[in-house]
Amino acid sequence: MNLNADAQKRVDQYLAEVRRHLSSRPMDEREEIVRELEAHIHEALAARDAGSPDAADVEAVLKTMDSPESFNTSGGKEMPPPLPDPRTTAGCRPELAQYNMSVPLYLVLTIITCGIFNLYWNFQQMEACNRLLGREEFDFWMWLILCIVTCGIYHIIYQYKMGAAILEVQMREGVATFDSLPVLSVLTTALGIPFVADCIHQLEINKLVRPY
Amino acid sequence: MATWNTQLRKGMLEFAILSLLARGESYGYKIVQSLRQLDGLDVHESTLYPILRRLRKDSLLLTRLADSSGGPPRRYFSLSPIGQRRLAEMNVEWDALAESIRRLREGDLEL
Repeated sequence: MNLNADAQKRVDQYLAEVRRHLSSRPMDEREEIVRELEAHIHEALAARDAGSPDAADVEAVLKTMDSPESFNTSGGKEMPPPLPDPRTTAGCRPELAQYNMSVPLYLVLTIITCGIFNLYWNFQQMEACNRLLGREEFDFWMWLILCIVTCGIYHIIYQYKMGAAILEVQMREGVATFDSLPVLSVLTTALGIPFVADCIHQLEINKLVRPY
Repeated sequence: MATWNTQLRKGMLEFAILSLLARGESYGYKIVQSLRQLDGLDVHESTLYPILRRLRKDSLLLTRLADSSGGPPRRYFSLSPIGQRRLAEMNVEWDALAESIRRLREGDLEL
């Protein structure tokens, strides 16, 4: 079923609110519930049998469903409101523009400094992701210690988490998702080319923080 | 009154879902619509979908994806062998509990 832009926007808005109120749950659980709800909305719209649904039809269906707040079982510990949609709000993220970085430049600096600059790069990516997620998912110093203690093995886990975090933000924001990002991050790091994962992460972060 | 009633209805939802799926596979929206036809159950999306997820994680339900006429694919749920055993246990428990309450209400109990 094809929804027009307004109808789709209202669906996305509802699902984003639900995601926010489910934020205390693990990401896979949260996304599974949201996917089920999205399917539920489409089924309900199809059941109305009123041709191509518009925003009013979506609104009518959403009125028969639980409010996003009903999904909050954590006693009010939900994420802060999602960031504005970058597709519709021009110049809306000046506060995050600092995380929009030049991938070729950072890659060259990493190579020139024999990887030392990569520490700063990872620090910036962690900061960006924490800001985008609205929670302190990554701790640079903890990452550094764990990488040293595990002789770098923890970095593979970290790359997976970073990929999953970016994917979570993409899904929450309703932008194009890079579904294989967590797996790709692990593979490239395990194969000894973690810089590739860093580059891909940065490209995806740039899309999320670019000040339009 | 309202509180215990709500809790009882919510508690029955898992039993109701398994009982419904014992009759055949179904998907989220249809499960909601089917259960809402029954009086006395408290069926909300905010409780049903997390329960479906938990039952699947606990291996009580199996799932398969199928195309729908439009929109995202449907996730069909069905009872797994573990789910069937759990439902059988629930039925025994329910019958015993219902019988106990019946005896109590009808005074068929020596004090």
